[in-house]
Amino acid sequence: MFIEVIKPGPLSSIQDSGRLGYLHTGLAPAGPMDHLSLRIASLLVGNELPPPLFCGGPRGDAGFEFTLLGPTLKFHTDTLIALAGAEMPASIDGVEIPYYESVSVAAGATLAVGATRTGARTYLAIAGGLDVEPVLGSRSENLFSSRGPFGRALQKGDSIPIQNLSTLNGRGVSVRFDRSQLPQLGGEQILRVVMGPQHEAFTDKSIADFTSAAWKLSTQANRMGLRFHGPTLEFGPRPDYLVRDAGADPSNIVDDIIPVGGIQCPSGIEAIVMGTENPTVGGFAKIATVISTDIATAGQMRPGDIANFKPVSVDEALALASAAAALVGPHNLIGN
Amino acid sequence: MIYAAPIFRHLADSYVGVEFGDDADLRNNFRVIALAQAFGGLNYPWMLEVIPTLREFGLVYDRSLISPTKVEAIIREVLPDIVTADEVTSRLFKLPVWYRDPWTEAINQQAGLTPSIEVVAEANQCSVNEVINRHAGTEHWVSCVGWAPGCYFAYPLDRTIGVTAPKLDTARPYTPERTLTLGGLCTAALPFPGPSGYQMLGRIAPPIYRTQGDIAGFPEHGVLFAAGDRHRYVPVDALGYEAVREKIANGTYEYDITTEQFSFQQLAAGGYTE
Repeated sequence: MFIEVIKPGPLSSIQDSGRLGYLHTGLAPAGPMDHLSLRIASLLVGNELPPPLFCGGPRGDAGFEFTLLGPTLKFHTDTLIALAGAEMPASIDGVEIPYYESVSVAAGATLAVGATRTGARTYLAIAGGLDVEPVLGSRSENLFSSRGPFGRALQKGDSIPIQNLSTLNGRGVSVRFDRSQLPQLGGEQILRVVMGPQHEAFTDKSIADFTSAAWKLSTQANRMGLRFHGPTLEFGPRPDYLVRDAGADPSNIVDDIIPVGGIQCPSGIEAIVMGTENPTVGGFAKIATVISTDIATAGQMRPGDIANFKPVSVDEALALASAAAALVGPHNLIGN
Repeated sequence: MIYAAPIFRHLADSYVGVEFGDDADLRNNFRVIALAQAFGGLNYPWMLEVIPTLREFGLVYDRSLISPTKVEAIIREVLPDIVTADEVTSRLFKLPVWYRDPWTEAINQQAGLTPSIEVVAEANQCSVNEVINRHAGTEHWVSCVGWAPGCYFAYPLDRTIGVTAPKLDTARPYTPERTLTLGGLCTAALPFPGPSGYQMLGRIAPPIYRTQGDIAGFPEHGVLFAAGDRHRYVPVDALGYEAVREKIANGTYEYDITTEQFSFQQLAAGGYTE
């Protein structure tokens, strides 16, 4: 009982909620770039929900993350699946299937997932999860560090064990997710940020530019980070000893933590929003940190999309995170 | 400078950072490591990550279990003991290094560059042999492990003999795994091949990162070093390097590790007093 990868797509990988407890070794959490969509897909097939970004506990059942273009997968057992996130056209044996809805798949059927025109990442959950061995407590692939069940993205010919639907009691009923409260993907987006840790290093004008300009996502966008282009940001005066200890560029700092969502501004010429495979420490000033809820929004942006950075308080970020977590529950499921 | 009082920084809604200063003074790092060792031994269900860096201690919390205000209060409670902590636990690794190895020489030659170690010699106005003697003549304090798994950043404990190196304007696209590199006063080694803007001094003989297979001394996560370790680089020649590689291949290599208490005074005595 398994799924066979016929075509892997350009970057498809296995993800649960991510690997916690190893940042002190330099290993980033990985996990989905859009936790919300993976959670919704998981809910639709009755899986154990992967917790939101940086929430503890069991890591949830693993699903797939596809980037820009999906794979072709053959199912060698009966199962139930659900797709969420960027709506890459998807069909089973040539018949189009809906998103945000659980769909039965018969043994021998082939799922083909095409290219997205809005949003960047699609999540596929399979009832019972992907039965691969966890590595360091998680089934998430960290592609940059080659850690995870395969230690890499999907390849043609991979077999991924799954469970037969008959062993999963009561999961055959088709349900839909109420999408009315979900954010639109792609295009122009607001990314809410908590300012800092190094916003004081920038000039007042640059802080104003950062929060008022339209920032365009470049083609350099992956799970490690998303490089946005906008106005050049400038830095205020700094002590001479930082030239010796941190480097001559005014954006250099003595290394500190780079959080997931941290916005690093090397030489002030770009704003890099760090993803879930972020470098864990670094020596460039970070003007702000994207709140946990909006990492999912950033993860759905594609080159050319526009971000507007909007400062919020830590308390507002916490309230938004609670609301986003509460969105994914049976109260938002609709029976077909 | 070392701040009069540590600064707390809330990095959005998941991280609390405690910053002890803004420069590369190892006395800041001693406080960070004391704090990391204090929290590392605790088992709070809300505590997801403890992250020591050169000058900042970081803690990732589960926002569904605790508020950042409460996290800050808990850290503040232990801070008075930390800022007066006199000792931390530190492991001393003796690591065989082939300084001026043929791989780094070949990479420079291919790029038409002056051998890195000669660049370092010129920057320190000394001979290549003196660079090696000075680099191997002091212990190096691992201030932080990060950026990528197993990558570390170490500073000479005796700053007075430490050598410095100018960083490259543009990172070299390929640097072999285990290459010993220097940027400013900071020594680093890449766990796997990748780009680096640091000058290459030589190659560490034994592995520093494992993703599969067992080597005695490696924890399950595969990263050998931790913040608060010390390194003593022991120069070896081609034969010495090959002898280590052979032992690695047949599974008989044993790392030379001594675990001991290391005091703030020992650290401060190395020139980190201003």
